[in-house]
Amino acid sequence: MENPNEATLFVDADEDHMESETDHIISQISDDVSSEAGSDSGSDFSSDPLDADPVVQSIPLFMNTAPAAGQSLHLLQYTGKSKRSPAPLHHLRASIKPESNFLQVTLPLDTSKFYDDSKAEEWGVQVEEHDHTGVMNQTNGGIYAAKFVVEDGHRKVVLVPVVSSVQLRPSFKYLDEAENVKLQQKRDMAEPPRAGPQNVHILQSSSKTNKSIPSDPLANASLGESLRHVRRFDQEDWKPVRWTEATPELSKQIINTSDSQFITDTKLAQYLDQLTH
Amino acid sequence: MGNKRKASHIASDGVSTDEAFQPLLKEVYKGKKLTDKINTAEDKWNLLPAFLKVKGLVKQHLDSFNYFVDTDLKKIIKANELVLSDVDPEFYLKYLDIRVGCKSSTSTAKGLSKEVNLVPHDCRLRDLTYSAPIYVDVEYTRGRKIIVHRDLEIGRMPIMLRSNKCLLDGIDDKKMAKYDECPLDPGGYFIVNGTEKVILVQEQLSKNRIIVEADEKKGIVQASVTSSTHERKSKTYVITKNDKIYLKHNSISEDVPIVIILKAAGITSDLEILQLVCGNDPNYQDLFAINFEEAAKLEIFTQQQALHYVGKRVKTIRRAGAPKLSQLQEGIEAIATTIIAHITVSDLQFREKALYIAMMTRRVLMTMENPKMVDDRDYVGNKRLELAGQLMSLLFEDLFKKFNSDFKANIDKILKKPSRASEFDALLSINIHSNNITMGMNRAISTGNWSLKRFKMERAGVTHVLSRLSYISALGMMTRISSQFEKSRKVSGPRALQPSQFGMLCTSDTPEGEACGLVKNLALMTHITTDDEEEPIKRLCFILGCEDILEVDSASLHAKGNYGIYLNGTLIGTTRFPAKFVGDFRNLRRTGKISAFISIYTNSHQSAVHIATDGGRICRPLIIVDKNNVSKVKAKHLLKLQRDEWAFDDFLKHGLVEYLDVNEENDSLIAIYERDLSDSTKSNITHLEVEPFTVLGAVAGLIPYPHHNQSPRNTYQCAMGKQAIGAIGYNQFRRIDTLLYLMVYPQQPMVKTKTIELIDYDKLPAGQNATVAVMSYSGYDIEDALVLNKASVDRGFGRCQVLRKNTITLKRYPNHTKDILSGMRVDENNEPIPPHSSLGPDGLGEVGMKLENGQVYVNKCVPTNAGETVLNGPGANEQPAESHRETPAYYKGPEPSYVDQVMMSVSDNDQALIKVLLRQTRRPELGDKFSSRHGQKGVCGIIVQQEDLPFNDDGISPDIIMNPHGFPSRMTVGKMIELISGKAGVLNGTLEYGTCFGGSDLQDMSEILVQNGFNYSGKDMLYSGITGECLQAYIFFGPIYYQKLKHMVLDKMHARARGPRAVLTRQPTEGRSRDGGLRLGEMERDCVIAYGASQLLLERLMLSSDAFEVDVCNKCGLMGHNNWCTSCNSSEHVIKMTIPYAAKLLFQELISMNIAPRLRLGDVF
Repeated sequence: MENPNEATLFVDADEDHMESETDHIISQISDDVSSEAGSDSGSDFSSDPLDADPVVQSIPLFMNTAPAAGQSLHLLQYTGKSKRSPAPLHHLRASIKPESNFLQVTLPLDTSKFYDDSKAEEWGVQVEEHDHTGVMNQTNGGIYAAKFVVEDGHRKVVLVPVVSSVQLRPSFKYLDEAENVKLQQKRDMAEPPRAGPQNVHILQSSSKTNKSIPSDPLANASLGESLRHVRRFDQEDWKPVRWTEATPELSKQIINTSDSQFITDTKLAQYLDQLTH
Repeated sequence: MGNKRKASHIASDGVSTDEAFQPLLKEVYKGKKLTDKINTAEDKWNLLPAFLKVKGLVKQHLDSFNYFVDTDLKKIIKANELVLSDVDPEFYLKYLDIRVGCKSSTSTAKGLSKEVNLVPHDCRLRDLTYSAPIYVDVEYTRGRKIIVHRDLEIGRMPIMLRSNKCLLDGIDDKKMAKYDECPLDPGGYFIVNGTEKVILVQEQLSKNRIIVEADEKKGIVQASVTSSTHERKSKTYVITKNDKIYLKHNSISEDVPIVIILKAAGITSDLEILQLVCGNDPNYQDLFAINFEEAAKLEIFTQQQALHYVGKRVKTIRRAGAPKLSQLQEGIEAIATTIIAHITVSDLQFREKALYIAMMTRRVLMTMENPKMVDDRDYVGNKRLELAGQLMSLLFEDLFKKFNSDFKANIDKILKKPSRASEFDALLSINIHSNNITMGMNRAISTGNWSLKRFKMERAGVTHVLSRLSYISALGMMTRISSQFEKSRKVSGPRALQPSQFGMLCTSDTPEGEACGLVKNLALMTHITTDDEEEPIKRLCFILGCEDILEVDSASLHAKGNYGIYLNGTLIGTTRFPAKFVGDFRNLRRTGKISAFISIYTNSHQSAVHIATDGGRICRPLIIVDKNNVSKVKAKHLLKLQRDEWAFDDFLKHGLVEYLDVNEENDSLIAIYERDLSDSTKSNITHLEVEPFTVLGAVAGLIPYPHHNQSPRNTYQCAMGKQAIGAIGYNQFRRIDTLLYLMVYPQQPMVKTKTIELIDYDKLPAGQNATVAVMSYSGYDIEDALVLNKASVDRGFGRCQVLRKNTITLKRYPNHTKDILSGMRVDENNEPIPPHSSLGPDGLGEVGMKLENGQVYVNKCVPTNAGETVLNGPGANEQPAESHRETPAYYKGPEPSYVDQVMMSVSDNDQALIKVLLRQTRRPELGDKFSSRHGQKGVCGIIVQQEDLPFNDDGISPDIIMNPHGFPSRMTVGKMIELISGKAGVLNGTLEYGTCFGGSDLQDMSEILVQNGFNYSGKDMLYSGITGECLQAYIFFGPIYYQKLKHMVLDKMHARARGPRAVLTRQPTEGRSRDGGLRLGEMERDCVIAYGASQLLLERLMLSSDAFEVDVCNKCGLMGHNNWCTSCNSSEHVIKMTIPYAAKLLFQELISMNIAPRLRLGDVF
């Protein structure tokens, strides 16, 4: 937590399923928590008088936040990882570009199995870790991490809002780098004979860029929106994110510090009106 | 019935408010008392008039236009709100708001906030455009200050009649009469330069939806999607080629393997691609696996490599000044904005786009595995209707963008100047272009050419002149739907009647011939949706248990039992409980929480729930049936409706009735009659039809007993009903149209239908009830010809008036001279000379005067020196002595006309505008065309004296005798039943009903006949008018409603002995209007040759046509003149002969092309 503005990622050992890809423990309740006060989150709509799905039991809901200020909860999904294979919890490094909402997690590569040493030789790089990257989707308060807790015979559901979700995909940076090196070599080989005329080009283009400097935002405007995103992404620096191992205290903290039980205030009709207008 | 009609006349002197609804307040209405017991099964049809009361027949046009001016305009302004300057970075102009026809101060105060230029009828008469100003509020910088300017007029918008910006919106019949407007006129059209223009509804394939097609012969499967955004329109394909799948797009030069595209969109893992496309299905996996090889062979593994691959193949069309992009950037641009353009990408999150492409691929795979999974292009659910509002919005956005770019160029020009005396006020330069929008809109509507720069769209024939032949033809035009499909292609699919058209599009009303099946008509109870906001619906879906697609992982996306939720074709999430989701959603809609026009349905083949909020879907209201198979609409509700406590919208609000579009109809089981609900075998009925006869449209609804007719006959009647002469509107005598046909004594039909009452055809009918005898008479009735009774014709049967407009403008010329009118010329006795006998002293024809062929009705004079300029020598400032030359307007025609109206006004460029309406009253004559309402047309073959016609016991003789041979092959049983019902109605003093799938029962009708001493079958014993003897057979005898069609002999008769010739060929001119000859054509020529009548041939083809004497030189073979050969320079061998002038012309043309045709002459004998 070097940077208070920075999101901290933590991984709870108990809540393995949080990262596993097929299992969601996301309960969607509302996009506006303050207005929503349904005490029976899941059966909110089954209590609709139009429906014949009776309420069997009511369980109190507790709302919680991330344990410390500046912390927030994020859902990481490792696509392509089987549910059964263990979560890669150790030797992780993560960095983030907060402006672009871009997260990168570096995982060690299992070099013991299915590892082609000859390829490594060919590229001249020993690949020992690989990056998983993904864009963080703001959930806008629609997703919660929920835990069903039985405390002295009382059952309760604790909810913590998830700020964003990320689907992490391998980025194969080493392949791109290897290719870039190859391309550079090719270019270097082909370049010397054409060095002369290219100088002229550089002069011209530099004079052009000089002109366009004062109206830099306008030059940006002529780019498409997605390319502006790319440019912003390229210009932004990676900020490191500290990876903390989940401790039992931490998980307890999340579960227990909640004391604010939700009480239904809004009538169903009011709620529906709010939704649809 | 009688008092009902009387009350509906606007001329009635009552002090009531809405007179059209007076009869509803009467104790007895349509044969029912208010106190009568309500029978839900039969009285539920009352929902239909209630629906039409709110919606009207042209509501789709009005809704669409209202949406455009109220909502869409604001969106367009929002999307183009900023105008920036390239020169001054400080400068900006921002559009805050836009309004049509009302200023900001009046917009809040309800009531008189409609700022249209004139009353609509004045616009018609004066050839002006009915329009309202477009106001914008702007905020801009002037120097350092920010200024807000309200109510800046940027142009004028043509206003659709009866829309909420129109003067006629919501006013009562009395006010309507004051404005010279017919209260029954449906509105929904524009008045541009005095002509009424309709923007026809256009049918097209729905945008932003995947359509999968297969060509089984070639083994090609393709999924395509037409992406349409405000900026661009493009089409993306996912196609198979040699069993491999590729993505095809116009701006990518070659087809890209699908795996590479998916990798470029960020799905780098092959496993994930397989999961996204195939799910767990081994069949799909086998089919798809081959595609991975291609990417592997090309050594494309990472996103960057894939983007390079795509970027290399992008066809770049760069605007001037735009920076050159690298290959990688091109690739990103292509993926982010070009391919599937309607899905926007933010934050480099390409997942939604990748999912869309994967979904298209999946659909292709599904079709490869099971060819039945293709989509049907002709299915109505895959179509969208484009209405006036949408087309206007496209046009306006184009014009507005042009307006802004012109404005910006103007500002830049001024701001560039280094020293300016005063602070620059941008508004001073904005007004310069204000004519662009006005003119652009006017031009597009009046010519029908929609040219949109940004889509490179050029569409001609979008607008049509509203046909005012009769009330029904105007109505028919407003409900017409034209297809974009080419008429010349020989495919039957798009023309065929689609089962999904049921209840949405009329099953009978389509033209014959080349446009058959391509031009359709709306059914009676349809509504066309307008665009609805997507965002709230999306939020609602998530709350109803939809899992956001960005959080759903690839592996569980296609898991069994997992249903994708698609909002307007785009996957937004999944649900595991589709039935509950759909049920909850529908409940919310039925309670009015979300718009009634949003449709939701499940497609189990695709494991998908589709939600549609887009505009242009056809939908119709249906009664909801609850789980116990009981209709939700009960007697008490209908009672409230009858007492006027409830309107149609109350039924919607209370969840008794809902709108279903074609797709959602597929998700429901609809009972046609209430009795079907008790059928225990069908336990899952969800809806009940309001009325089965609503499958037909307004025009087909005129036909009595159409369900007894052979179907093509109904189609024929739909075409002919629009040609029938009748009343066109209550203001018909105030109108000055180019051509107007009016029936002199129109009658409402004896046998009507509910549709007739609903569309007020009984108030503006086009036809008369004729007593018809079905028998042979005189032999002048062969081939469907009719025998007319002369006495009936004398009494006014089939009499009509033809009114023709003649426009004369008095021009002003640049040299201050102008056209004038001069009075009549008189002879020595001070009598007007014969051609001027109908003129008044003012030089205009006097109202009521007879005009014979060659007589003058406006004596216009043109100045002789109009061409001279004012700046002409020393005497320029002296007013030149005005001398004028007469250029009168002559009346031309075989029959005389009468001056009906003369109107003098000023058009918008200050020139005097004179309109003279000439009237002819015509009685039926031999060859005039008549038709019953069953597609049985015939011409008048003979007009017989009444004393020669047969008569029955009561002494009644027929108005029309129709040959019985018209029945067996036409199978129009409906016509026979109409006769019986009509006869029973006459005897009983009632109007009978022939409503489709219902109407008066034949048995009841026969009983009435028997009670009145007639034969049950409608046959009477007749006596010959000639011999007085009883006829040997009983004659089918009774009233049938007959229409007089606009095709009349007087307009068509034509003969020529001699007359004008074409200048070029010297052959007689062609066509009646040019007094042309009758052509002896190729086939006729063949006959004459075969017959051997060579002299006739010579006479017809040359002597009577273009004989020409030429001088041919027998030596050189060329033509000379004056007995002199110019090439031989002698007259020695010159021979005179006669050839067709056209042949001589041909020779000369050949010579001009350097080919010398030489004539060699020899002796015949």
